[in-house]
Parts: sequence; structure tokens; C-alpha cells
Amino acid sequence: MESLHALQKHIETSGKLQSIVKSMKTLSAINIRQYEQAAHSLDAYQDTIEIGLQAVLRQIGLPRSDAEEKPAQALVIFGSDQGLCGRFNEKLVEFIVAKQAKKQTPKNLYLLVSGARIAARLEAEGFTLNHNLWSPGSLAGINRHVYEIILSLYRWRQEQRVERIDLFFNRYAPGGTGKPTTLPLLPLDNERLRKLTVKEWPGRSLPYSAIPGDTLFSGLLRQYLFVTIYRAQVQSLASEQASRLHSLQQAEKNIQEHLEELTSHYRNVRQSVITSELLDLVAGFRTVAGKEK
Amino acid sequence: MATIELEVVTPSGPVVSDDVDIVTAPGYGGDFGVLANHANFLSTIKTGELVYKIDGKESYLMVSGGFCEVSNNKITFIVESAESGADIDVDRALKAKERAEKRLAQAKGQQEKLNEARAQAALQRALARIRVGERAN
Repeated sequence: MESLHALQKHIETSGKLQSIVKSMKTLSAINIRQYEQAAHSLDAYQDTIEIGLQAVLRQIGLPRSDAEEKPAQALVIFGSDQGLCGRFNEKLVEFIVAKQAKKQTPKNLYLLVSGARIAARLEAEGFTLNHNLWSPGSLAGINRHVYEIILSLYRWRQEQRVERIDLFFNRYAPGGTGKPTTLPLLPLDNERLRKLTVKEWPGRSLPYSAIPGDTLFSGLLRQYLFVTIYRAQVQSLASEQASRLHSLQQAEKNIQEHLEELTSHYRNVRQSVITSELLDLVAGFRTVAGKEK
Repeated sequence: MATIELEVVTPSGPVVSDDVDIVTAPGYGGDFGVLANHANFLSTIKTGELVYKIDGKESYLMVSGGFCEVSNNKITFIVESAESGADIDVDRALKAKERAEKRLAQAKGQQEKLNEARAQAALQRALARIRVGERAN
């Protein structure tokens, strides 16, 4: 049987652990909120870009598509750097493996991975990673992170003739822990662009522009790439925090149960010790009283 | 004086949302100004200084790359980042400018084209930060 002192130490350690888990839970909840707000403002951002594209495409028509038949492909994968987030990385890797297995893998496949944990998982599945990045730790770091990604993709497009780019990330849903999703980034979806050209313009007249339509289209395309990658990263970070919150809630529940068990065990042991001391006292008293008679 | 609604939005959230007298922005083809009841208009935005006036008082923002749309007496800027003068550390921007100039001087030849473009972008950002930061102080 464990001594009272050892049990007391166990209870203290579990209590400290519980308070750490509570702090981490609070931190995750706060982080989710900021990413949720960013995701919301990105909707307005994307809407304005679509309006711009709608206006420009009406002027210059649909862009010419000259993609190769079996182009080199790049996957941009958003995972996590840190653990304690349940199956956040595992379920995304399973999703990627299933998606890639269904398709004929292109001759040249390039992988850009954001997040050290998911990078290790992907390597274990046999993927060769071409560029690893640390996941941004806060909203303020996302801009620079997205520039890094765009730069790598630009390089691959120039040097390796990568035509097709897909994003893989966990999409955030309030109350959930994120759902693995894929989103084609390039080439542009011609059907979607065609719909934009015939969509009703929300005003009396089309806007004019002092710069050439092609230049404006390039600028809008850059914004579209930026916001699409940014949005994927924000969704992934929000899902990561949601998964972490979920895992920490489970951990807190387990610690609470363990603490209750320990406390109950401690009380039993303490009661046994007191009872045994009392019995010793009574026995001693009887012995002494018997001798006096 | 007639006003126009100004909205500056970055991916992390709205930065300015107010009725203003006039807005001057760094367009791709040069700086342009927008007053109330301006015709519908589209333009891309370079890294630079965005100035707006409310009741005669000028305010400054450093904006980097984006897009601007004017419609129905509202001007919306969609930019990758926006910083007000008070948020800018001028000393840090001066150091960033020096680093960018050094990198630009080193980046020579075709292989360094990307690094040159990066350094050029960093230099533009630093210069815009210095301009806006100095106006705020």
C-alpha cells in the first residue's frame, strides 16, 4: 500500500496538471476566436475580389488555358507543429493518401508542407517533401508565411513547370474538430470564371480602370492566390485549436476522474491508519489496565 | 462637405471604416485621389502611403499590395497589410531599409532575380513605413 505522503504528492501533481490543462484550454479558446474573426473578414475580402474579377473579365474575356495534358502537380499541406491536438494531422494524412491513391500520380509531384508534425507523418507514409515550413504561431505571422508559400510555388511553376496546385487542410466548423478538405488553387476553374462573366453586375454601370485590363487581372489573380492560401491557413489553425480544445477537454475529464479516485483512495488509507492507531491505543490501554489489576 | 464611405480591409480584419472627405492612394499607374460621388472605378494598389481626410484632419496608413474598388459612393481597399503611423517603429523600418538595400546590391544576375524582387518589395515596404511613421511622430 502506498504511504499517505506518496498519495498526497500524487494528488498535488494531478492538481497542478489540471491547472495547466485549464490554462491551455483557455488559450485554445482565445486563439479559436481570433482565427474565427479572420475567417469572417476573409469572406468580405474574397467577395470584393470576385466583384473585381467579374468587372475585369467582362472587359478582357476569359483567360486562355494552355495547361499541359499531364502537368507536374504541387500539393500545399497545412498541418500543425505541436501535438496535443488529437488526430488533427493523422486524419489529414489519411485523407491525402486516399485522394492521391485514387488518382494517377503525376510524374512530378512536389510537396510543400506547413507544420513539423504533419511533415513527419507524411514522410512515414512514403512521401518526399520538397519544402517544409513551420506553421505560423499567430495571426500576425500568417502574411509572411503566405508570401513564402507563394514564392515557392512561383519557383516551381518557373523551374519545374508545375501547372496544377492543390491545397489540403482541415476546414473549421464551429463546434467540430475540422474536416479534411482539398481545394484546387491552380489552374483557375474556367467554369467558375465563365459564371462570373454572365453574373448580373450589382450597379448601374461597370467600373472603369486607368490601367490595362490584363494588368488589373494579374493584380486580382495575385490577390486571389494570396487570400485563398491565407484562408486555408486560417481554417487549418482554427481547426487545430478546436482539436486541441477537444483533446484538452478529454484530458481534463480524465484528470478529474483520476483525482477523485486518488482522493477516495487517500481517504481510505488515512482512515485505515487512524483506525489502526486507535486500535493500538485501545490494546495498549487494556494491557496496561490488566496489569494494574 | 460631401463624404465618401472608406473601408480598408486586410485578411485579419477591417482596419478603417469611416466617412471621409477625400482619399489618396498609391495606384499601379500612379497616385490617385477619390472624392464623394466618384464614378465606379477599379485599380490595383502598390505598396505605399494611403492618406484620408476627415473634417480637414489627415490620417495616414502604410498599405502593401492590394486592390481598390469604388462603387455607390463607397471606396473599398483590399490590402495584404495596413499599418497606421502609431503602430510603426521607424528605427526598425530604417534598419529594414538598410538590409534591403544591401540585399539588392548583392542580388545580381538571373539566378538572383527572385531575391532581387523580394529585396525590392522589402525596400518599398520599409520606405512606406518610414514615410508614414515619420508623419505620425
